[in-house]
Amino acid sequence: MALAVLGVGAVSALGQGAAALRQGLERPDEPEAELACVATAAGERILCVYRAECLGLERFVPPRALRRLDHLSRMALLASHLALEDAAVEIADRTRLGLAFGSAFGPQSASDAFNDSVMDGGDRCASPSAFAGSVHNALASQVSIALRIEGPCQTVTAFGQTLGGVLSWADAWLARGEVDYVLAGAGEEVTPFRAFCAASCGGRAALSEGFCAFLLGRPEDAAGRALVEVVSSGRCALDGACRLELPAGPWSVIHSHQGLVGEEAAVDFAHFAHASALPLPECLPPGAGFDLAMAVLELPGSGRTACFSADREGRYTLLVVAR
Amino acid sequence: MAEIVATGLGCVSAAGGSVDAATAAMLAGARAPRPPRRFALGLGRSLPVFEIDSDLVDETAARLERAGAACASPPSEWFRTSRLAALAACEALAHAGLDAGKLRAAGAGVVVGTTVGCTMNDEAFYRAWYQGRMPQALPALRQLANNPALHLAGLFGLRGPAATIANACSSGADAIGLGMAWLESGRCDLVLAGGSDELSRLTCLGFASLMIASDKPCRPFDLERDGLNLGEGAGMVVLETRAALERRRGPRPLARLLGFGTAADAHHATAPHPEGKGLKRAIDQALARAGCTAARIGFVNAHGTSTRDNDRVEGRVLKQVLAEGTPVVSTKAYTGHTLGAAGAIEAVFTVRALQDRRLPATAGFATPDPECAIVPTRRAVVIDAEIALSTSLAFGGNNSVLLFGRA
Repeated sequence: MALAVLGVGAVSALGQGAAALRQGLERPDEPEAELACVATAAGERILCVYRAECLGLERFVPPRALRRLDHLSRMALLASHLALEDAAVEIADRTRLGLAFGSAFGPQSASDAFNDSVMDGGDRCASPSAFAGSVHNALASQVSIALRIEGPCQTVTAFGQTLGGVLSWADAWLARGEVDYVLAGAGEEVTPFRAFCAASCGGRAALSEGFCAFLLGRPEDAAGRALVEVVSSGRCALDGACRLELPAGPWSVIHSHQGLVGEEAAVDFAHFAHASALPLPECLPPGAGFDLAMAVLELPGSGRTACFSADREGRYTLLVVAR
Repeated sequence: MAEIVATGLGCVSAAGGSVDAATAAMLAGARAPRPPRRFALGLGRSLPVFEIDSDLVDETAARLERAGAACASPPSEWFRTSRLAALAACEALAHAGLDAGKLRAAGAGVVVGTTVGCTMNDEAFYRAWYQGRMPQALPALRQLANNPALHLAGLFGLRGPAATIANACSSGADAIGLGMAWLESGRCDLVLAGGSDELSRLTCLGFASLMIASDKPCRPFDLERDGLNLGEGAGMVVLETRAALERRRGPRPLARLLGFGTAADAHHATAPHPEGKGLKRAIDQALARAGCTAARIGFVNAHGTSTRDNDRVEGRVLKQVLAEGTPVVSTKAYTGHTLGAAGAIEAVFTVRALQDRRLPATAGFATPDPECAIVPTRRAVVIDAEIALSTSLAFGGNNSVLLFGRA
């Protein structure tokens, strides 16, 4: 089933909100990045880190309520509020609102804080609050509590197939009539430990953090807004040995691996390191989310856009966005 | 709506290395929680856990070979979570008359719930980095290679949808729920769905810090219960549409998957809603999908962690929902709380109990707690059930339930 994208909320190095994402991507210059010198067993590596700030979250949430929230949860919460604001839909019955999030590494800062408590103080000093915040679904939980979302609440983690899993949940709930709307999203945060892992693994020389959220509804609610559909999700050979078919075109393609998806003109956003969120090949959930946001905002141009995201194992999700 | 059937079950836990072995042990009331053998805890007290013998885990390579799987690296290099998932998957596939080649041909999907299996849990690696030593990257690469669903998909060469569900303690049930959704929507005709989690020292410390880990064998729903025992294991179910099963002329179904429901409490990060609002909605949702009433539920395999809060809330909800006298069991008394695997392991036991028409006693239970409102099974009982419910509650306030019917 196609899903109506009723609202977009994006938090990244480009700023907060769909308009900031659009302006940032249309500007010729790159956003500011932090240069991090990371010592690894193989020597020092310089990483370009694109940080995302949560400016404006206080507009939605009292500062006091934010004290215990880790950075990823804050990004998720801000992106969620922005998506709801963008959609301008009144959802009085929060049991009819579902939530599906995706993240490769989850709340890494809380996980690091828990580990640190054990390293610093020993086994008896393990931090209960950090442990509670370190579970992968903590951000979904925090957002469900903050926004009183009492429908289904799920978290997916599957690198290149994460967004496909997130949209599968939304599709199932909406198709069965169990909810009227779904807040869906994906994101990642960068901590010093995660930067060390990335630098040690020899991935690309840039890391980005961010969160992209969408308010999704049934196709009949689209009213001229974008519709997204998962064409397929699975594993393919990135050498072009398998070919993924798109419905009849023409299509603009975001993140196409040349020769793999149809014969359409590819729109190369790869030079926006911030758009691909975490440029480690395995860390695509937020990247796929931002690809979808760009397609919804018609950044490749008006018309229909296919978003193809894959990790280096060839695990992919192929989405199409149309109006 | 497509009819979804379970055609294969696989399970490895401290209760036994197979579904048969675990069923026999539980019906005999046998359990053996003991201090962890693979690591030490500096807590000044002993925490019993349900740990799987490493000899069993070492069978992974041989079992995978029999299932026709291709191992890109030796299982000894994998996360233990991945090895447990593979063991359970091999059993489930054999049960369903499938192997890697048939799975590939069917375009099967794979969905696995976990908690530990998607985290960087290599304490030595983290400690070395924290102390300013620069460890080699291997543990970080292992994390990338051991996402449970993607790892299984790689072993069996599957090209269908794959997802790992990280929804804390309901992950295993949620994975089966997502598998059901894929089958209903036609994304695939056959799914390997379940959950897997290993015992981890850091996780043990986390539960100890929350003061919900008992230093005695757990006692679900008992008046004197004082916390859970952690466990490890994996449960896997082969799910397929009835139509696909008939096309491949597969074995007789073991059970029908009638419903799945999931709902959030939106209440607290670690405590359930005091009135079990989310759990009630999840049960209602599953019943609506199944088109049946709660009165038809013949027994429940409860989440039953043996913590004060969970058992009180869950017991009260079950009392409100179920017909008087409906048997309730907590098989965590035999497996410990296996976190992301729990919902799947308990789904496997639920299907098996439907088939066998027998439920084990809830080991450790002695004295009813009026606050829980229910009395779980005190001894192994014969049941006459056509429909059974398996419940899972999770950190983050998630509640998920599965409803199975006799085939």
